[in-house]
Amino acid sequence: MAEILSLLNLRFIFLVFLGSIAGLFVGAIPGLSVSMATALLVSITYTWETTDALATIMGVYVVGVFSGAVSAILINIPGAPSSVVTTLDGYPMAKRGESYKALYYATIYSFIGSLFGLVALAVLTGPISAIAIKFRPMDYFLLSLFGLATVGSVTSKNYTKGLVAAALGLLISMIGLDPLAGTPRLVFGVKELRAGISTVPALVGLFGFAEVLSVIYNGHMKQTVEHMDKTRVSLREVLRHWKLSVYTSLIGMLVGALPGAGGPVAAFISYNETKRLVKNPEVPFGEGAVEGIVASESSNNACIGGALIPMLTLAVPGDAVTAIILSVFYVHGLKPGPMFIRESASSFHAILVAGFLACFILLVLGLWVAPKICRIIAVPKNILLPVVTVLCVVGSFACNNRLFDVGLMFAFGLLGFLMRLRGYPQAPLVLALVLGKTMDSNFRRAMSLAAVAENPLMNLFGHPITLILLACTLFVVLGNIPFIKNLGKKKAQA
Amino acid sequence: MKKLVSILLLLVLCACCALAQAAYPERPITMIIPYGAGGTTDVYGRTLAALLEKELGQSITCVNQSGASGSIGSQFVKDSDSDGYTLLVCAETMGTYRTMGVSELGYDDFTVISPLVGDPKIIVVGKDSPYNTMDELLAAIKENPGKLTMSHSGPGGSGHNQGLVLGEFGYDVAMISFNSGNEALLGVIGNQVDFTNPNISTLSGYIASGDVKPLAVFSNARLEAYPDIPAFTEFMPEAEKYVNIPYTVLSFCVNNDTPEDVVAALKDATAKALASAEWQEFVTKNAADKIFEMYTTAEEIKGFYDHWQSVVTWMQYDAGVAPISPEEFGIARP
Repeated sequence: MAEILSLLNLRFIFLVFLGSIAGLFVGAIPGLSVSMATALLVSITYTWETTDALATIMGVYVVGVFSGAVSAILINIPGAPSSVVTTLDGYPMAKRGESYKALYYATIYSFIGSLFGLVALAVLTGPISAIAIKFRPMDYFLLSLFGLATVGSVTSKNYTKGLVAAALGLLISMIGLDPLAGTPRLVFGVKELRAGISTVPALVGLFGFAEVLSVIYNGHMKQTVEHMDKTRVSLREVLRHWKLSVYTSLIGMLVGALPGAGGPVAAFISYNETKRLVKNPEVPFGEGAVEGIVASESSNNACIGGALIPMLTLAVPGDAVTAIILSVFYVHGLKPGPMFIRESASSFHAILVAGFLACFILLVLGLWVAPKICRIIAVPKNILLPVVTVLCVVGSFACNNRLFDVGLMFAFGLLGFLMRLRGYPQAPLVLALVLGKTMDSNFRRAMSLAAVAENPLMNLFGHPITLILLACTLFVVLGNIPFIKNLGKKKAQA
Repeated sequence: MKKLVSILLLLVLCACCALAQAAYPERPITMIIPYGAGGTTDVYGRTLAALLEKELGQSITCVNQSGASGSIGSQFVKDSDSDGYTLLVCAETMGTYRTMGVSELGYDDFTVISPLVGDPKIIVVGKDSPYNTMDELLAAIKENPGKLTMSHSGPGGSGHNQGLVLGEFGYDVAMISFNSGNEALLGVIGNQVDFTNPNISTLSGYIASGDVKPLAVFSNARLEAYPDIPAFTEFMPEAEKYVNIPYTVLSFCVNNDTPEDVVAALKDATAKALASAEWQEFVTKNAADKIFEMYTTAEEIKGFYDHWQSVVTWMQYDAGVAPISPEEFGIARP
């Protein structure tokens, strides 16, 4: 306890605050990502004390994940894959003039989600890393498949179009070196393609540049939101959804703790669950339901605490940001692993304290800055869009310092535009791109493990976790077949 | 006005000429790390960069350019000017790109300033495994050919190569590829795989916590830090010629047509950086092999990489892992 108090000095608090401010900007600006900012911080904080470095990075991480929602709500461009779900209801709200309300909800529920995840990190590392280690290759595959199956159902009125988009994403994710055999696939002799398609140029292109093209195509250059509702929603009204938030935070934390899936999967699964649980939202889902924001923001922020658990106890990063935080540890001579919390208790406490501090800074920044930042939506599109375009170029270049990625961004922008025109959702494509490699390698790993087992079928499916995931996946896929859907409806009528 | 501009431009031009003649290095340097932040290459690269900055008196910016087993970042260095302002810290995959069909690059395309470290590999089983010694494990592999599973860090990587060495001596195991050495290790700890061979840097915590049973060091000698773990050759002396080389090798290089004086300046600064107390302490703490002390002269370094390349590429080709024959690149059989 004395140690924790000793951390709470001005310097520590200042560094967390500094990180939070950086996180706010990086997360909110389309194209710049939290993982990019943390990677930059690794080189800056190289010579710093470990606790100082951790304080800054936790600030960036917690606030950065939240502020991805800002651009998602205001200009329909998610700051990171995990904020994709926030656009579904956030942007329609903003278009109705309720951007302030949407940001208010996002702030409160990001705060609750982050807090939930960090509490889990503080008290549940043991049991949760024990669950994570029980996950077999087949389970990772099924979890990803489950995520993909859900995304089709939540993002499009036409399930088939959602699946087509996901399939396209999977195909694109296959580009690059085969993860198990090392041979190049689908690269057509293009050297740069061997590295595969990174998420950032794809995301920035599909959402950012595609948005620019759509506005130009529709000739809405001068369009602005005229009326903006500034009435305050009472806190009591906002907190009405706390039960839903706790449930989706739990999903977020658990999915976050499983390496490879992370924020986007957590947000999509939570959104799907919310749709199932909340039968009669005041506004339909996809048209500006606050429940959608609650689900997405609670779960993607709860992922933070979740993702830190396997990183600290198993040295397996839960997502791109924790992968970089891991390198901060190595650079400072610390070894995450089973002995970490016992041997390096002070660093563990620094992470927790910095994380909790960052949560409160998030709350303050969100409530104070959000109303000011809302004005961006009043900026005419002919001024805003060129700026967005420049940011798209900068962001896609900066992710791996390659000009090739800028070209990819433009290509994805065109693809995203065409998909919008034809009513195909982009979200499944992004998610499939994020998950493709994991699915591919885990499925084949599972097969090669089963191939030498005495009973291959038992090896593949004879585990409780696997069976649960298989049931979930089948439930979603079958539940979306029109024939079965109609069957359910008829029964309800009868 | 025009005149003033012309004079200014002329001055700048002169300044450039003067600068061009100044001794290396006279401007900031970039170090390309062809893997993501947080991996072994990144950690050692950044540590080296910080120490080199002190010796060279110029700032060194580390840039991670990951992808395609490190060949993307390496290609970037190859395509940059050979002026010593773009450095590369690469892993051992450089020796196998061509035969694996990943890239046209090889160690020959670069001048190795110095090898850095090797990360020793240990064969381990889970704590509940029925096997308690290397002998028991080897016997089990012989009895059930192709049935015991071994996880490794990825195709053509150091873990995979060790599985191939076992194969050379008639020990046939089912090799399961994971994304990283650490994930391969977790497969063993999670009771999904029978055994694996992680680097000591990933393993040390799990030895301390008792989650794994270390059976042998994959080398011809025991480790100073872990004197109780027997060397692999104690069980299989005939494997000597395969285990006398380190399988995980980090190297510090520049383009092979870099001017000699620049290479000499870099070699000099690097030698000082590697002899510093900070570097030594860092390497000792990670229980890494100090291969930078074993190969110092240009001939020794070339000899080491030629031998390494020949042993590993032929083994991979013979096992059908590498699709292209080493012969095509003039690599002789060991």
